[in-house]
Amino acid sequence: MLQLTEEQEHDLKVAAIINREARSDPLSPYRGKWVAVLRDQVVAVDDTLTEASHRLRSLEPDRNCGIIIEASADYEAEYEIWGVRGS
Amino acid sequence: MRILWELSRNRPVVEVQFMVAGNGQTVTRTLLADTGAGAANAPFHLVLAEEDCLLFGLCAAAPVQLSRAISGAFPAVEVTASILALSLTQHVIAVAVPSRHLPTNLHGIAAFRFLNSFHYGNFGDATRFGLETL
Repeated sequence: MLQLTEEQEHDLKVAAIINREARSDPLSPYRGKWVAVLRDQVVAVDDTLTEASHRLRSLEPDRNCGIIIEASADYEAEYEIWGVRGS
Repeated sequence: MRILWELSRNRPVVEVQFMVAGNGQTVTRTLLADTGAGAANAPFHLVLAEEDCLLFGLCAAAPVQLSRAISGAFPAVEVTASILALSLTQHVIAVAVPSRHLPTNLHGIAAFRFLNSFHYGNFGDATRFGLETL
């Protein structure tokens, strides 16, 4: 499931459009929501990841189908990991 | 509620139980408690090995870009994480990285967004690190 299927790649493109809208339009219904996309369709818009996940999996139990995004998150940013090495 | 763990090689750690996708079995992982990983608004809570993300992943999430100590674009998945001593179970996003990127002798990283959902620190005991529910 780490390698997205072709179908999930399409879902990711839809998710990217939603992400841009949520971040640029204060009136977007996706703003601040967790959104699930399945086969190019938005199937869940919820306040929590848990809710969006349950709704997605009630429609499609296969975990290799669909994708979830946090609509207002910045996925274009780089997030620093300062350091992980220790003795 | 509060739980404290002994430092691991002088580093702060948290122990998190993960649910294996599909069978409900739980597995405990020890993660570096790293406030320098990510940000409060980062689209991820944890960094785990790819193998664990395959084991625990419930759904694919949008890929995340990391930099500095771990650099590149990495897949992400939704996982179910629990801290039983805090009676806490939540769905969170884990970034999947090759295990060679992870801290020595630990299974992954509890990033700032995860830690920031608790009170965290040593609570007056310099040999331990702990979490307390907000």
